[in-house]
Amino acid sequence: MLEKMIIDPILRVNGPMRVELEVENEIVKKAWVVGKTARGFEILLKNKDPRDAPIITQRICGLCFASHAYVSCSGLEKAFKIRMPEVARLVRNTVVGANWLAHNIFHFYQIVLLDYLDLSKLVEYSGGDSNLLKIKENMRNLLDSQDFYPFLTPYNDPSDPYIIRDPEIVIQMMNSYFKAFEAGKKTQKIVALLGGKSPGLVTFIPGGITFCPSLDTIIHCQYLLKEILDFIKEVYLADIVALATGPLLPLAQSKIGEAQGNYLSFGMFDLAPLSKEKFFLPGVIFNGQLDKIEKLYLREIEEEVISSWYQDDDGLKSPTKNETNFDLEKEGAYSFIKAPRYLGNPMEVGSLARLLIKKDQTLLDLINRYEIKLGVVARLAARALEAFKIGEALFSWLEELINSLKNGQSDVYFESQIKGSAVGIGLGEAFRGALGHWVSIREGRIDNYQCITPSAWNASPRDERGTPGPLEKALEGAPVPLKNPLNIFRVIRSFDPCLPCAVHIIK
Amino acid sequence: MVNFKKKLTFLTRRDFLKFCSTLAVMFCFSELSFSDIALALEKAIKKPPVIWLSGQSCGGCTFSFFNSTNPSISEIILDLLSIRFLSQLTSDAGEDAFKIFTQTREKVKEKYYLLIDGSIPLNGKYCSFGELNGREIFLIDLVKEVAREAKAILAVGTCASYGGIPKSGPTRAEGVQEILDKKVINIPGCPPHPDWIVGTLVNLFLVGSVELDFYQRPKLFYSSLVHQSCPRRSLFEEGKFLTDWNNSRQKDWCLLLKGCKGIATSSDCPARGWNDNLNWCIKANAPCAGCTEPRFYKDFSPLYEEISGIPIPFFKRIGVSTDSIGEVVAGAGGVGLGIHFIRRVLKKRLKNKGKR
Repeated sequence: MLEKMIIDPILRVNGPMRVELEVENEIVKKAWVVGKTARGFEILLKNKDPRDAPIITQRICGLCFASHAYVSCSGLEKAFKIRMPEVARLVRNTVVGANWLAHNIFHFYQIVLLDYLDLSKLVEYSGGDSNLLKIKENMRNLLDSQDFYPFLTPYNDPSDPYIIRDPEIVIQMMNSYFKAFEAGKKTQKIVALLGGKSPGLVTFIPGGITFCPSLDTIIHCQYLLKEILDFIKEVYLADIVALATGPLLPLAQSKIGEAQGNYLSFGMFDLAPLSKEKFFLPGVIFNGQLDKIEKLYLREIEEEVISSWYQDDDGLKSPTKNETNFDLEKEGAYSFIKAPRYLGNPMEVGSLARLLIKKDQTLLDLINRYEIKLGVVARLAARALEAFKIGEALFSWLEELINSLKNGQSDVYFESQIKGSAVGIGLGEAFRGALGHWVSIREGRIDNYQCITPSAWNASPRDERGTPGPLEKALEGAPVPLKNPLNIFRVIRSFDPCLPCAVHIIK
Repeated sequence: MVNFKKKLTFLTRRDFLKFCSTLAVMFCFSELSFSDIALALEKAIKKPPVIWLSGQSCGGCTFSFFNSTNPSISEIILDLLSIRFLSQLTSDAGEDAFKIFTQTREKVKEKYYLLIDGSIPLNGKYCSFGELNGREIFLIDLVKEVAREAKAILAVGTCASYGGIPKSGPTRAEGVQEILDKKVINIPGCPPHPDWIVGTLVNLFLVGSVELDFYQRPKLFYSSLVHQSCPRRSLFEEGKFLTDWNNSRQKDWCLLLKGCKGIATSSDCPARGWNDNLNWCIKANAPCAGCTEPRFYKDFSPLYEEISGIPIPFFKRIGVSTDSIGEVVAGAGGVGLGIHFIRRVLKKRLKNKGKR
């Protein structure tokens, strides 16, 4: 018996989102993911000064703003053949890396975690740890006063196999939940020290950065980073590994949340000036063939709008040719998100994709040893592992920064004329996955600006061949018992979709 | 309901007083002594309920709010606010999410605070909220509905206040005050400083109202121009303007020629600083983009070009009394004159610099 199910709105994702499901015998058969807001960044950037783009595109997403600024600058630098000084490269890497850490922590604790905890069990904690007792007391106060917001949840299904009910674990996790806020704030302080402020940084300009950090500033960053890395090692990574190999192992080994197995990464963090060597490598994987990493060809990226509320008649288009115009009455369309495809395939992007393409041994060992499928839990584990690796890389970049300053390199900016006409492509990664800005400039003004964001890849709608996007595919097969849609949320939140990001517009 | 007195049994008296004193210092309640705050908070029987709706937002405003330091976001959740709805934290979904609004309204009539971030498109389809009984609910309609019985309405961020960046886009995005006929307190900024948000809220709880300027911003935080209290003001007076970011001699020079909008922007950034006063735009050698102003972004573009003339303020605001109009005219005139004067002086100085 086929049933139609609609969940709208879905919360604890960034931006308004809707999902429609076809359910048969409590299993999802088909899913449609809908992005429900649009602002028209590509249109409002038209005819603007190109130097504004790194500031304005940050507001596409208030979370991965650093990646947008980075990619926007690098697009303009490619267009005008600007070479960035060494100090600027290291500062940019550090700022973007710190921005990733802040959000990786937030994503697991504030967005994902509550789907797996039965918070009513908190009060049954009987241990003697004073910290945990304080949490217990706090939570009991909220419960007693019948004011359990924002933790109140209507989904209390005693037969849900993936809910953790052990009071000891639940209270430990809630302790981490509150600690995570503080850790996230600390990582943003690194962004602020080198980027001006957070959220929304101001120091990235096409050609470099606006200031040369003092030794004091860098040492302050190192000290903050040390504390953050301790949190990542002792709390974040420890929590994830404990859950993934313990109470959530059955979920990790299930097929819930598996997408097509196509992965894509644009590569991120230049490791040396004027070299193509990157910390995360660009590459593509098809159909889950993890040992076969293929080269990335930009010309194979195209966007479809058959299911999106935009005018178009020629099907696939490359982002350079694409323009943006709404058509809210379009027949068959159901989302503001466009459908980017690589060689016609929907591709999953994000930490999991990056680590698989990097052939990260820690992740592969974890997956092989515990027979973990590349679904919900694998995505969460990949993000935590990646946070740890980036944290360590940040240390080395700060160290390099000190060395270059000691060697007397104080140039932070390459003066150049942003005039005339040019075309540039900025490629990089945000923590959610591959991010690209395509910019064309005519007579010193932006003629066309197109972004393909990570969530456009992950949460893309169906294309002309009817192939669903990675998130839509991942939802297929998820069990949805009566009145308990938690599995749907678990799959969706493992992708960390960002709707304001995803949505972008063409003519 | 959290009874603050009851809470004191485990939150020691000392902790509680410390919590109150940080609040007092942070939000500069000159007129309120710190014991008043403690008393008021203790008297409060329950945590004030808050509903936070998001329009065409990037999420930056909520993430800035989470950066609050004194009180921290954990303290806010546990002790200060009953956050009924905030899309990044709330656990409900679908029709259950709608129930929060009706429940809040029924239980705490006239007593909840409504916060909104992100602009509101007049064409509802560009920002839809959810589906109720098979009908699509646009955000614009939900905001109107929830606002009706809210005790106070706060527009958080420049988008919600005046339309912000999306206003220059094609979706007819507007600030909240354009769609409501109730008083709206604007807390602009792209994003706003967490102290501005939490400080305005706490001030509302304790005093019941906040004094607003012409653009409906709390005077507490937006009363002076960035230029007035800028640490580089003296360099401006000396006519030292940064022209080359690589030149270490020009390190702390005035950023006017690099497009700084500080002379037309009201905020207390120079004194407050960002992320626990670690840094802020001008300290990082980057020009102020003018993000707390109604004219941001459209009229401030290009951001890296020297500002040229300031448009005369637009006198169409809801809830402006005749008194405040007088004040505003005087204020706006002052700004206009100031800019004119500054430009004249500046031109002269640049000339002098050329001679030297």
